[in-house]
Amino acid sequence: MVNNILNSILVVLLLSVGAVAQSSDMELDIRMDSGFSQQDLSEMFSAVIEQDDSAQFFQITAENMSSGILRNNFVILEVHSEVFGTVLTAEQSSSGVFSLNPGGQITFSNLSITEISNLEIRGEPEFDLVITSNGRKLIQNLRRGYLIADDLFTINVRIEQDIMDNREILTQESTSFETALNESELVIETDREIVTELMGLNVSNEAPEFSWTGEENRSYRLVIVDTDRAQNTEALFSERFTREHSENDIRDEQAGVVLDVIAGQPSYQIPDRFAGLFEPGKTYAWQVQSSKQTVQDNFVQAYSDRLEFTTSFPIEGEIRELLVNIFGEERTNEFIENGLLLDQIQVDGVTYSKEEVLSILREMAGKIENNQLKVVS
Amino acid sequence: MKKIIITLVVIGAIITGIILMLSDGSESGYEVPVLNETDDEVAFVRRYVPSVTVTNVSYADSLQEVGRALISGDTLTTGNSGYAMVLFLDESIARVSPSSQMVIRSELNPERNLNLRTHVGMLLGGIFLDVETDPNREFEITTTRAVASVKGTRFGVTADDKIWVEEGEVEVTIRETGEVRSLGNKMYLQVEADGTVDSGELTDQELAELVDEYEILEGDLIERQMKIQFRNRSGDPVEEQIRVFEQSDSSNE
Repeated sequence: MVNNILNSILVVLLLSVGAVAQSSDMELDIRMDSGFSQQDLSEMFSAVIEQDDSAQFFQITAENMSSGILRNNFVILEVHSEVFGTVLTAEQSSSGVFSLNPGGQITFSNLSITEISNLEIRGEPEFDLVITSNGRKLIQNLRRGYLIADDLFTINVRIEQDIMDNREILTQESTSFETALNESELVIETDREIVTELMGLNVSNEAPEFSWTGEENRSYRLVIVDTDRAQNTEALFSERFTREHSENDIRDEQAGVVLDVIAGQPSYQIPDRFAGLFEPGKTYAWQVQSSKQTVQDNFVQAYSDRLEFTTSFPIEGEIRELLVNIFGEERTNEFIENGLLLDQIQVDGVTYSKEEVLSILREMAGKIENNQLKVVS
Repeated sequence: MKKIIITLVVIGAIITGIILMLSDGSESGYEVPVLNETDDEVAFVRRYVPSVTVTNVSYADSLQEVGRALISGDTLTTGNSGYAMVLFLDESIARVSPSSQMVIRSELNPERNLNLRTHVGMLLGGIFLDVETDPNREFEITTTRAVASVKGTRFGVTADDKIWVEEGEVEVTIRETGEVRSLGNKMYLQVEADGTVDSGELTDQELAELVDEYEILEGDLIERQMKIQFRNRSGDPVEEQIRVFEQSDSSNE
């Protein structure tokens, strides 16, 4: 009789637990930290794997909204990528199983408890981690610093309740965030001052060095084009960068390709064997390309801006004679001693450079010789 | 700085003028002409390349534009690169070379529209003239040791007593001796410091060189502002500004 009564009470209790165990009874919330960005992706995975809460990436909060006790609750977390599929699953082991009294609340930062109220818990929560092979590849590629590409990540969280060794989903929630290829990663930065320096270079006896901003020990392709010779500079660059680089095809004088070389660092010093590659008074354009790998194992091309510089004229030979006509011997020698190079000429507000400089100086010299022009300094 | 230069030019002109006048008086063969001078305009600066300065007792003006009127007694000075073309009322033309200085005096006709008697005292540098032919008018250039009188010709005079003739005829009086010599086409005369006189005929090349010096004044001049940009070793621009005066294209046609 007593046994019957006890069994009846147990059934009633079980039924009452079953009645409480409805998703609406447990309010579950998961949200990404407000400061989270895709750059934190690698660290977020590390925090989950290592159950590290030193930096918060997401927060999970569960609250018992019912008037009864919600017992024996487990947290199960899954990170899913649209590209990679399931990345990892973290399932709470028997340690840290918690029961929430009415109004009781538990908050996880990543997978570590940060706040509790009105609950019973047995030990610290521990999670069994399963990383899929695709997930492992993603996490490794992230750690290698490969570019984060377009993807949609979803963090699914569910709370399961252990009732008589049976797991039942009490509630589940998810949050998503998108990642995208950062366009700025496709730009190789260049310091504009390099252009100024190139314009101060005496190309008749100095070999220029091209430099840009980028990682050391990365492969960069540098293409330099003679814009005066190239029929279509834009198309020529495009064609060179599309074509696979070949050590047997680093110059094409006819087409205007001054140099097409691979640099193993973010700079390239024109070697001595290319002495005389650049001529005074000509305009050259140069651009750098580098391949970058994404976490999805694709390659994208990063480019520098296309920069142009016009080489200046050393004050020697004819240029010297022409300048002597205007400035006299002494002043011209001062220019030479100061290492000046002739760049351009402006006449009544109109600027002339390159070969126009020479023709203007020659014309002036002719007029000076014929006493048709006088220079008043 | 500019004022100091102008002041020095004025003082120099006055001192040189005084010396010239004193020497005029001391020479036996030549008498300084007495002109009936007024404050009327006797000539205009038709073209110039800076610097050109016009000075008189009460002013010292650096020329900024063409058309400057000259009155009798003005001293015209050209700088190292300066040129001036002076057009007299009688359409005689004087082209002045760089580093020159001269005192211009002229007597006008009663109508004040023609130069009857013009006297140019060369103090420094050189001058190349086109003097209109007119027996009723007189045009004289004096240097320290010579006086060139002309009735219509193209000729040049330098302050160091050289007179040369491209075409026409010039009568030269050697001031020390009063000797008078006549120079015709392509002839020259040089009075040396010791009073000796060298004269002869110019070769075509010598004549061309003398005339070419004044070529810049043979056409209207355009002033151009030029900036010549250099790059220093760092690639930074270094700019030199110059002014050039060149004959306009229409002048060469």
